[in-house]
Amino acid sequence: MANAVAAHATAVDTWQAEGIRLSDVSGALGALRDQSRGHHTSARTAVMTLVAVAPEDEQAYDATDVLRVLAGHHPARIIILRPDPDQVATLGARATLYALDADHHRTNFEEIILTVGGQAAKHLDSLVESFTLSDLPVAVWYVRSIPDATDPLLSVATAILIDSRDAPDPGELRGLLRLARRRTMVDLSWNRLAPWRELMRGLFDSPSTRGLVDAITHIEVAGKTGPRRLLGGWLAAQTGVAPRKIALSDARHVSIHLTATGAGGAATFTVERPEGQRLVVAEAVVDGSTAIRATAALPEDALPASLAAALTRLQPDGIWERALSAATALED
Amino acid sequence: MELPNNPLAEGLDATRKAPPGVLVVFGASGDLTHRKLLPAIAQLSRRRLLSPTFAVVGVARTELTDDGFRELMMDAVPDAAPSWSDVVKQSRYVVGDYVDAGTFKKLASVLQEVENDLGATGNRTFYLATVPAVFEEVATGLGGVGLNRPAAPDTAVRLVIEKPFGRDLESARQLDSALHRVFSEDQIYRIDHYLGKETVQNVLALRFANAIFEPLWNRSYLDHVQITVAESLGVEGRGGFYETAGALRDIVQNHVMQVLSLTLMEPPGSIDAQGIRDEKVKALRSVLIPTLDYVKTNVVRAQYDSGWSEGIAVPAYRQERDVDPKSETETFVAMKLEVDNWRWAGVPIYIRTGKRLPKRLTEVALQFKAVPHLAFGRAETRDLRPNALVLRIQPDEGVALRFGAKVPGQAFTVRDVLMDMSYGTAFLEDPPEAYERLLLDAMVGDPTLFIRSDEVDQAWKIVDPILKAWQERAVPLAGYAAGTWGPRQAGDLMERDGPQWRTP
Repeated sequence: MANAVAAHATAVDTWQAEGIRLSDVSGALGALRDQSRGHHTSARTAVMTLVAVAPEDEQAYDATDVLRVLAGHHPARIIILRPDPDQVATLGARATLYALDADHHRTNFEEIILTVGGQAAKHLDSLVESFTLSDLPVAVWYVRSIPDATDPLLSVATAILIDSRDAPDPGELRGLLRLARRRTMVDLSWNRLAPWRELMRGLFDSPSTRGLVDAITHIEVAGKTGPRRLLGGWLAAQTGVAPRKIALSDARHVSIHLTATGAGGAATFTVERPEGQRLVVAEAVVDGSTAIRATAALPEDALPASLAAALTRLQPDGIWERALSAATALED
Repeated sequence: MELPNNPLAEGLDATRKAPPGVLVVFGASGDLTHRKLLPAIAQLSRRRLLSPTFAVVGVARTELTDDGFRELMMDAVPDAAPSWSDVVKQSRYVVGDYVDAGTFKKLASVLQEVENDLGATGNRTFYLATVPAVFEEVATGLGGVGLNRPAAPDTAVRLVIEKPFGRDLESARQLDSALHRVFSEDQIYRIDHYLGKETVQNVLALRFANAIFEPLWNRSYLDHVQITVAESLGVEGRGGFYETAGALRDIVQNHVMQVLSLTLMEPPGSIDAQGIRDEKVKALRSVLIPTLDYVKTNVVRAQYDSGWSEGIAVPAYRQERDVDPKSETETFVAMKLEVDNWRWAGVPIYIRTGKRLPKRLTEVALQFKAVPHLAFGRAETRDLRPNALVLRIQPDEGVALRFGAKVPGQAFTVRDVLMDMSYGTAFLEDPPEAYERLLLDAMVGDPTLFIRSDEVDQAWKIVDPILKAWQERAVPLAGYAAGTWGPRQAGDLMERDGPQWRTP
């Protein structure tokens, strides 16, 4: 998986124009495809249509970089939308045919960047549907933003990819939760935090610690606003610890510290990322001695890895929704 | 006392993870452990599929300390993730002979220490990465100190053994009854690493997750089936082992029989261990057991002579190191099998496997019958052959369908075209290695991809009469030049029925 995520695509051919109609883009795509026939060893394969909504330049750079890398994992037709309703009504497009080499195979995929000005920018669904691949899921990624519940683009999405880090306060989280109850949402933050969750879970797998889940008296979660709130919500929802016993604090890296007091004594459970390392370290200390220790490596590049994980499972996640719901009740 | 649930595990179990426990590897200083098992365990730890309360205990005759074994573990995985160090630190080593009861007493005591240190539950998986000759000794030794039974409630003890499972039907049954004296069948996990290959499992997905193939998968539409397991390499320094095995034991009795049973089986009620394994056994039971006369006319055995392989002049099998210059061991087998059931009656199954063939490849080709009436002119359809559906298992895994299409132009010429799907272009991610998948399955307790006792028995029932016929020298040993698709007799075997071997 790591190798595939690290694969890089190279542009085979590209077409670009401004002030065009949608049919021009379709025609250009057809022409690019015809040219790709010369590459006899190449296959055009896709498992989904991947749409990224990136109004700002910085968002668009992020999205294009990541999605091209990701094509090595989830061959897809990529559509990057650059809406700007305040601009004059116009449509610009760039269509590129990419080749991606992995092991013995070369795969071609297409990327379409649409710059949409005027009122059409509020009806992106009408543009996207011309390019979605039939019979395949459509994942819509809102790059560093949270969609408005009335966005018509939501209707074409099989799943919506967001990052709850972009909705840090409880009001925004409640909005996200409402959306999640109507649509399939996948949270990149949730996937990025998987090593912390898995290691913490592992500390309670042992028979010597399993019973201590019910004896947790205090939880501390440090990190940036979104992740600390989400992990705090997860621990509250799963352990039943009251929100007033959960302390959230600001820190550069995410760490979790649980204290449990049982009949046999005290225990602490820590999962943290040491400063300057791409590692998460977990430790359970029971009655003053280390009972369990575990380590997990973090991916070199978190965004493609979390997107790859998110796209692997485009399904509603009840545990995430519960964590989100509990997170709205936490004091920061 | 039953352990309470771990509420933090909820939602994280979509991906299967090994429960807390210890993997005991017999033959821990050996080649299989170094090349396959340790890298597979390291990969499981990198993917966070092992519990933090997991350790390896190595057992072997080689004199090593705990630290020495830990060094060996690190050496086996030079570019491991940091999590591998955690596994290595927790691991231990027991030196001893497998016939010595003291070895197993020491193992029991080390296991107790490791589990106390880790707070592990008592789940134990014993992996026999040893020569088959000591399977029985190890199983008996484990039973002698009670390690064959769970140490605590809600824990499991499993025994994983590697092929070959016996040298013939009789020795396979002897091995089975020796193992069953100590372990129950549901504790025994027989590995054929072929079943851990993603593309072998894909035969099930292709057949039973799609409506378009299964209706054609029978005698009404199929003319015959060809299974090819070809290797371009020779014995590669393993002449000593190969002399005792040969192609029939090394490939046909296990790998080919597994691929055959997946190809022939009926749809299972569910894709679980019992559903799949029941149907695989039923399929093998439908294969006609060859008689001596049948073997004489329907099985070809051969040995490679010198020749050219991939541009290099290579020696004959008899000139290989550790091979008897007068060896009668077969490096190639071709055979026709017949299946006596409603679905397959009258559809011959042609099998060929060998070393020093032109390329390394495994495939199952389903050859369809010709259309009942070809309305086009003979000249226009000269290049048209009956349809074929080819499941490529390795390398370049995928599915290809051959069918007729009109050649562009004024004439109505119809020619073969190939619709070729490569899994590599549809899913670019790296699938887990076979050992990684199978080790995790064994530790999780999912026997679906392991071979059940009755399956081994049935496979031997098919192969055993061939071995006996060869022992009686009823079938002459043919020769073939290295780098070719086998002896002329293999071609004759099929051509007398009409079809020809594919050139994959």
